[in-house]
Amino acid sequence: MSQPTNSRGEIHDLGYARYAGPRRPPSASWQVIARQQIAFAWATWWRWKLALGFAVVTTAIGAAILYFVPGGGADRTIAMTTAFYRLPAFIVTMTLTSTLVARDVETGAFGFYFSRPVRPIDYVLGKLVGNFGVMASLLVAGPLLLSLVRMAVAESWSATQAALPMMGVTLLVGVVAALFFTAVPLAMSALLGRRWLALGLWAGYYVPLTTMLAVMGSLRWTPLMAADPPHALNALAFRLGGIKFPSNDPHPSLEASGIALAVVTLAALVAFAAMVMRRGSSSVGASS
Amino acid sequence: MTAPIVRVTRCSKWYGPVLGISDISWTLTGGVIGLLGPNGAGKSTLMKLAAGLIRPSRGTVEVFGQAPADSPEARRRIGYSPEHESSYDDLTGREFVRFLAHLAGVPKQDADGAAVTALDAMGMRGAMDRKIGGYSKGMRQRTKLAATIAHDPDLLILDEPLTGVDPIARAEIIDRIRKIAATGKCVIVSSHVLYEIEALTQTILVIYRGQVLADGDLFAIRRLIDHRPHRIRIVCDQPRVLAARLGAAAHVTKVEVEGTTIAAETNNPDACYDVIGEAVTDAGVKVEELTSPDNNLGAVFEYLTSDGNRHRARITE
Repeated sequence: MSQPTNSRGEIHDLGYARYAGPRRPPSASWQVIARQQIAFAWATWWRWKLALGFAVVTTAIGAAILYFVPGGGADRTIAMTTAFYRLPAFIVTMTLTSTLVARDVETGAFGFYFSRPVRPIDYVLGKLVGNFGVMASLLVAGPLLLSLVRMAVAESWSATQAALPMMGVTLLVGVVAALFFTAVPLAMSALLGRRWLALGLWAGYYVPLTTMLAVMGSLRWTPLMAADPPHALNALAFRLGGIKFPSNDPHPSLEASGIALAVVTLAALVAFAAMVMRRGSSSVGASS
Repeated sequence: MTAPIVRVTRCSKWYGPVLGISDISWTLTGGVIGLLGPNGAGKSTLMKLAAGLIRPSRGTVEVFGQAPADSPEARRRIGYSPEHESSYDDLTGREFVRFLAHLAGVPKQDADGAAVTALDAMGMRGAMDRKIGGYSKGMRQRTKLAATIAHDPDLLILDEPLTGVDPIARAEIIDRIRKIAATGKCVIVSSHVLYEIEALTQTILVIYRGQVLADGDLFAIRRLIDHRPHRIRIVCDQPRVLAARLGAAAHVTKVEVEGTTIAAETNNPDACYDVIGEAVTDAGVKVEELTSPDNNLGAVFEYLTSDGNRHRARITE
């Protein structure tokens, strides 16, 4: 047993004013984590701002092409430009997303999260939403802006209306890409729990592994090319927009691309959530 | 009767084949309690269980009447400071504490004020806008403590909170913790440094090899260890006279005189103090110093955890 609490009416000088204001509902914890993710990404030039600069330049060049070279190739220009946004997205995965959860594991930050009114699902949602926001600023905002430019520079009202479906396509492809670039690196980060390993795995997966699969697919079995995210996302953009591919090289089908991206992203989401639940419940830190 | 703040009932925790704690039952109703035990004894496990970071393998843990691992509401009333460093080095102290206060339930518009107040209380105002990566160990510890109190929790769980803190800051932090506890907050604090615990509280929980060896008031625990004689050290002007009186008492088992100092061992310290008092009044002995080396925490801890003396002592109020 311990000492009883002080039952006498005394006023104690704590030397500081205790917080006595209102409390936020615990169900909003994921929003706090999401906002912190965005603030963290924004805090340095190399995590997000550099990539955002790339995206802005890409958008400016795409908009200039649409403005100065109007006509029938506009949809193709937009579809082709979407590929250029994946470079800054990849940079962000390397500077931020692929190391985030591993960093929390390494520093023991899970202890801080889960000793507060934060559930593992809040953590998962917060990290996903925050990083999706960062990715969407590159992969959704840029292409969407180009679609708007395309509509603005259309010669006629009917041309503007004809450009509307492409806006839907860029939005869908952008969201799918942003989900992929958020979920997969986060999952790898959670699975490995070590920053450099997670970084290596993600880079190894995105650059050599899937590229090799794409090469093998182009030589042997075209659907295998859908395992390469850039090819799958290109196929989505061109095939959904009904746009002719710029080259006669083989390209995966719409179905294969959609399925491949959905499977990888869903698997990553499940793995991410499962690992956080596991790490959250087994906790961190001292041995005793 | 006061409702318990923490109730641990027949609780065990294994990490695979490794035992964390074994069949512990313990109730905490308030105040400051010092958790003592050597490395690997199970102190951090018990603290993590109370903080809701881990679930028991067997038994139950309740904090404010709820299982902390399942109850965000209960965890909102807890401030937990882990033993190991865990912070975001690229954030400033202010950003870090603000984020954690916000996470703990303080609304966004109030979080900065709560963070600054807590950092100020821990003597970190001057450095709070610097990155944590550049902090010393003591500054990190103080920042961690600020994050623990920023949302004004009702239960503070502090795992080795004074590690790496300089002596002045240590005294300040001890004082702060005592003041927080005096307002009715409950504090569970662990430390390897016994005098730190002694400065904070007389109520202790001694854990050894995953089991509770002793729980309750330090002096009451000491009184329970009756089969080990209490040592009393007296410095006086007539040591021979006083030693003769002590030697004649049945409860005194050993008397040694060296210069003006008497070292006595007794099974009944109160009766022994009576003999000393009588010597002062009857024989005019002037006592310059009277100490009991066994009544400090170190002696009790050493005794309880030493091999061959393993037993449980439990004090009930």
